[in-house]
Amino acid sequence: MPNSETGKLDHMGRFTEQALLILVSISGGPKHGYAITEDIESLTGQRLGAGTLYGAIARLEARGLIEALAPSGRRRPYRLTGAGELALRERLNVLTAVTGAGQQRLRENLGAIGQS
Amino acid sequence: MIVDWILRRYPTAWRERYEEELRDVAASQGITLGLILDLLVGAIDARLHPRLVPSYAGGVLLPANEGAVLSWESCRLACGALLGVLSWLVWSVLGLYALIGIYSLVKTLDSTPLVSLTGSDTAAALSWWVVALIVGPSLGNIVIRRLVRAGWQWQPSRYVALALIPLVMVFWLAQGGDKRSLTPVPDRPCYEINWSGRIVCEYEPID
Repeated sequence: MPNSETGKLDHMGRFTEQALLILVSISGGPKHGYAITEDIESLTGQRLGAGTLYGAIARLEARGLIEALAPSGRRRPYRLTGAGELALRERLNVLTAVTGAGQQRLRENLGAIGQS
Repeated sequence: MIVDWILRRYPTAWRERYEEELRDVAASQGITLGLILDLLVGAIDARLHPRLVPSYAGGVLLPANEGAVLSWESCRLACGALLGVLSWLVWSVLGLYALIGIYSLVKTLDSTPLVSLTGSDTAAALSWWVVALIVGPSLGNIVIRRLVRAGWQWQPSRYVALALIPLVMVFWLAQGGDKRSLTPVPDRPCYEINWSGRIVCEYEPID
């Protein structure tokens, strides 16, 4: 059963995956929009469009998972809040469990195929 | 320039909060069709969720709220764009069918100088249909922008008008020709146009 912090990453519709990627990106320290898109592209090979990026950022801000810092020039950095860090940890734990189970089952299945 | 135009479609509170950053990221990504579509979808999303960004209304601070606001004001861009695309598609399909001979509009084109200019009624009709499709939106935009500058505010009509102007153009062109009565001459041959199925006879005008 997800708790309230994990639940804050749910029901974001088409922004769910992008929101998680943004949280991962700024978990290493505050970043502005351009740096976030560059970081996500280097991690996943996927470049977020500006409209999608700020649609996700606005939702994360509204849920209190990230917060804006003072702008430097035209760029405003964002950082994780305590709630954001907790939500990210819990979501990553779930993903780790899912990934581990998937890898384990694939290994078992491949072993069974090899024996047959 | 097109990025500026799209950014102006975002709600005011959204622009005050994110416009500079959005512009910065968009500029760094370079203008592509993908970026334009992404920004347009973002603008529609922002219109549907105007309270995602905290804003002041009448001196009262409205907190952020993710709920969609399905008022005409909030979906004006999306509804207008949808209306425009739909009416343009309807016009295109109906116009094509009308001009290749199913509807009576092509009958009016039969008697215009356009036919003698291009050699056949269908060729003339199709040529003008294509011209209308290409030129219509531009002319429509010019007319509408002037009307808006003069204080015309009703937004949905802008999109409907864009679709109607080509229709008006073709109708006007069709009305400009020789409107004398025509009657078939008994000993002149009739023939069928293969791809449209229409029966065409040679005609002679009656004074």
